[in-house]
Amino acid sequence: MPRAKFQTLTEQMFYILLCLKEECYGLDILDRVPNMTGNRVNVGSGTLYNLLEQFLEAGMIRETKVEGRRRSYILTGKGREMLEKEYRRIQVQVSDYQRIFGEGEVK
Amino acid sequence: MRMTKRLVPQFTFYDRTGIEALLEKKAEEGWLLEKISNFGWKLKRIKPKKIHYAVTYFPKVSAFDPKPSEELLRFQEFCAHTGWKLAASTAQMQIFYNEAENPIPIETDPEIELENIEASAKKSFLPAYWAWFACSVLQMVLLLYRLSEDFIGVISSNVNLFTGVSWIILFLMSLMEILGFYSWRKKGRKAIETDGSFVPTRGFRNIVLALSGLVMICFAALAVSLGGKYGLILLICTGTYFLVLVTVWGITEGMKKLGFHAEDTRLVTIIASIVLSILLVIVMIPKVIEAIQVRWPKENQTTYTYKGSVFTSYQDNMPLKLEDLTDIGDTEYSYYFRGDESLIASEMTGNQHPHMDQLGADDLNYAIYEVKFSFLFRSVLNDLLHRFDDWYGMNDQPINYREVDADPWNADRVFQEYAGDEAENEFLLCYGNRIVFIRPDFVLNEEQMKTVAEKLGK
Repeated sequence: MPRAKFQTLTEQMFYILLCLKEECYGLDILDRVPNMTGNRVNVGSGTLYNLLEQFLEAGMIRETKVEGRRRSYILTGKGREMLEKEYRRIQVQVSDYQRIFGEGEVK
Repeated sequence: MRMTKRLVPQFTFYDRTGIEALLEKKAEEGWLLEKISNFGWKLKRIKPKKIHYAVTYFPKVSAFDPKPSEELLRFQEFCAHTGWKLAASTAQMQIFYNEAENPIPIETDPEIELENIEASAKKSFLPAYWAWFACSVLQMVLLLYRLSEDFIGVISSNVNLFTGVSWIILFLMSLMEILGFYSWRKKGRKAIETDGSFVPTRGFRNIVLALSGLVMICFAALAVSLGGKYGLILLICTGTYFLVLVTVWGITEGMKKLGFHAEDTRLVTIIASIVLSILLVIVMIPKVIEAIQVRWPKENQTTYTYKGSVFTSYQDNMPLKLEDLTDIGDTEYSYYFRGDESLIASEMTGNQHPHMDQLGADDLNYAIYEVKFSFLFRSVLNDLLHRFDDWYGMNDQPINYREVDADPWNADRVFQEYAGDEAENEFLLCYGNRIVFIRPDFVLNEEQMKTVAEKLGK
């Protein structure tokens, strides 16, 4: 079975939510994520469309403006909690790595 | 120079990998997808180039939507933002192309992509194939029942063979597509769980093309074997079937153009399909056939009136007549010798009956069954030996067959019908791949048996 929805966030989910710390048009996220990550992470347009729908349904973001087909969104408290949970999970991973290999020991 | 061309690609609905590969190849040959309709894919000529295609699935739309929904248009705007232009769409399937060298794919999360394909398949592809599967299973059960009841009768008809083979092919195709989808979904879920990758889809295009070709060959063989007027009837039936398809399509498209709600259009389409199909089978085709037959001369048959009722008298060329066996005097007879023949077997029935005003005179009844492949012989013989298993003859005794001396009949084997232990004047005679069932009105002497062998045996 696939993992339970939003138990953990994929990299794409993480950065989309990060973009929505401030109010943002959905389409603009397509440009912001690569800018934010130095082109390391790209989100496909179909994937973004679907994730925004799912985040909305899960109450992790909310719509702030609807101008024709253009819609803007912002992170909700629940969305922020999810981001923090993911942040802590990544931090635990980092500290585990450091405990094993020592700080700064990256090939 | 042709500026457009059409394709009927026979792709499985969810085979996005195969569709993308074909369209990218076509772009390199100078063809760009322009439109998808019920009549195939339309491509327009372009300068040959490398184009990327992306087939995506948008489960929220319906094939009956009067116009693209706002949600779909918003989705398409998202795609356009990253350079993906809509080439064509059909129901949930949206096909985009991008001329950039390395475009960002539309789908970058395999889990979401798989969810969308699954949701779309459940809305269109799967119900259609499950319906096909259910119909084909029902037809095959009916066919098996008919085979168990009248094996030789079924296999002696090309129409039965054609419809039987067609339903078996339909069964195999629907089973293959359904199992193929669930197998791909299982692999896809596992891959997402283990390494987050998307398992390429794999359609059955070549197999579907081969099986469709086989149906066409069967159809052509049927038309040729029926020949002449019956071939014309087949052609009219096929034409009427396509007329129904086009009419239903016209109703659906008309309602969409007039802006009816998708659910209303869907309901009307289903009702129109059912009503027109029933009309086709029950009313139109029999009427058309009747109209044609009225104008054809009735071969070898006349009518006579007896006590105010009209009876048919046949004058077919029976291979064995009563007069070959005995003196019939001035009795007027109807000579009926007709049946069916398929690519693998034949069944001919011979009945010589006196006219109604001379009832009481002897009559003669027989049937000749022949298989064209030896391996079928045993099944046909078993079928004939057991066809009266549930019947009762004289004195309410169960009917059975017993093997008797074959020499007087010059046959390979002979079986006589019994009602309990009482022998009846009915025989099954085996001559090579031929079996003759004969029920004379009187007990035959050895000379008459030899005549039967000469006329009806090989």
